[in-house]
Amino acid sequence: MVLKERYEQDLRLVGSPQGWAAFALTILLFVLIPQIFPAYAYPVALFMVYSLVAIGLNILVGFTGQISLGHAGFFAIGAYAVAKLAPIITFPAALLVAVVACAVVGYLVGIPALKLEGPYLAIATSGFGLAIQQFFANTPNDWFGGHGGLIVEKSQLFGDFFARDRAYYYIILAVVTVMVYMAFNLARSHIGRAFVAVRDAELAAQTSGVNIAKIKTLAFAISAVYAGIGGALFAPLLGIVSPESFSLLLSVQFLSMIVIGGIGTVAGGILGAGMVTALQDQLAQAGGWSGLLYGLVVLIVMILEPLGLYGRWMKIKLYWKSWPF
Amino acid sequence: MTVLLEAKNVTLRFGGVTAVNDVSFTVGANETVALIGPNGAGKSSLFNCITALYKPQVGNISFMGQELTKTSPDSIASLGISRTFQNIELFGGLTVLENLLLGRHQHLKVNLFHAMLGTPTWVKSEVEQIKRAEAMIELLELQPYRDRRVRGLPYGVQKIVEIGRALVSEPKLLLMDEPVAGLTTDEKDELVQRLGELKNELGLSILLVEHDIRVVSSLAERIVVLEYGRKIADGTPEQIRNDPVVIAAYLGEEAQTLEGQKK
Repeated sequence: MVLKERYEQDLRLVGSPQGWAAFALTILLFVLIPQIFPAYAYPVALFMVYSLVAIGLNILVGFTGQISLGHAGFFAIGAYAVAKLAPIITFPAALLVAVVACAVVGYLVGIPALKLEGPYLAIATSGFGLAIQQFFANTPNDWFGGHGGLIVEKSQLFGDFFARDRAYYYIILAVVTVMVYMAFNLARSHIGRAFVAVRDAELAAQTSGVNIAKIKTLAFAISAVYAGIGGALFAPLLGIVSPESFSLLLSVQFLSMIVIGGIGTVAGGILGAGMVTALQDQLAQAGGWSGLLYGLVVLIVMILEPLGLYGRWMKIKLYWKSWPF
Repeated sequence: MTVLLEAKNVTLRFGGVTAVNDVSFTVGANETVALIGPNGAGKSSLFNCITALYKPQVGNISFMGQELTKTSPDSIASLGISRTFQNIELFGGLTVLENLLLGRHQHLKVNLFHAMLGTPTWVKSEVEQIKRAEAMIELLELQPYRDRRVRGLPYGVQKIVEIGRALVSEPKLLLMDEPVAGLTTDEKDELVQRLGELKNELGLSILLVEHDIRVVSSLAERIVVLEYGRKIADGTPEQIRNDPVVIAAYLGEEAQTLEGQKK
């Protein structure tokens, strides 16, 4: 129990010694994984990449209540930006291009989205996702490699040292840590508040001074940037970028991550990405049955935990807070 | 008395329906004015014109020299007008404190990057807002609910939170659409008393729409009566009570209730 004496304490992301301990342990765990369990380095890296997309999608869907079935599109833009540009202008510069491109495209998609809601917006955004996929598949082959896609050589991007899978893992870890930190900050800031306000009572938000169009398009842009950075990190991880990876199914998977993890919280997105990535990794061995098993597990989680994994975590936390009473 | 809000010849049409028809009225500084009239008289439409949600086809509404018919709904707050809604419009997923903090939104000038990086500039601004919200929580005695999500709080508490969110933005004019609807008699009395105190403490002007005549007569210094979108009377509660046009055309049985209450 921490007694708060100053309002500044309310604004700390990590408030208690236990919180700091948990934070330090988490970071330590992620740092050590490639050393202790090298076999898990790839799925864990994939989980970190996906968690960025899930966080971004959650900002849009969970916070502002705008649904998207087109996030594979933003993910693809980020991935292609790195695949195509990183060999020419270096990886950090290509990452920056991915961020700017996704922010602009996200903002532009957000404008027509102002007029659409629920299922209509879902279909419209899925159209966007498909259009992006088709764009990369059908432009001349010397642009983005057409249906075959582009090969991404890590050694070419990072030199021999970072080309090793383990080293690239740490690049992902660093970027994801920064982005997660910023997401937690955003969520509890006045902008995160305005996102939720627009979702819960648009009229009241407006009369309180929130510019609805501005805040909704901002949410789209930020969400797209998170997905885009995810894509940018994904390209070297996989080593190949091809249109078939960015199908509607991937967008649906992103959406299932936030539903499973918990709608409307940053932590929910991370937990959901972890659950879905782990499931797929484990079920891949089940061969033809993997799709069926995956569906079953998702169904069971949703029946037992309609609020998602994060909802369960909050219940456990509440229970221990008042333990042993 | 200085005039704060002035509506002149406001006419609002939806297709062939005239919701507000050539209505003019004023609200003075530190004055409480009530808009009354049967359902569909145009009270809420007039409210929505003042908050720039609707644009009247004819007439203008000025607030301290600013033309409201030409502004956007999200700039009303920064001019010094805030409102509550007929059906509570709170941010259910946010806590009471966060709802009040959103009432401070127009005062926030910190940009996205400060927010995402949690810079000292952002912390300073946020602490400043929290202090204001905290003072409002104390004023309205909402301490027990401070960190509770608004969804699920008792109806009466939600009504107070909504008023708090409107007041924390430091308005000069508070618009209230049926503030006591759905409250018990005790809660009504308490709210009326509290509103009276708040008004004097904060130097507020209030414009309210209300059906409860008892509340109207105890709060309002002046009453504007609407019927079918037209203004049919404008005066002190005493004058309205004795206005033959109002009695004949609208109040009817309610006037008798009023007489009954006086005894």
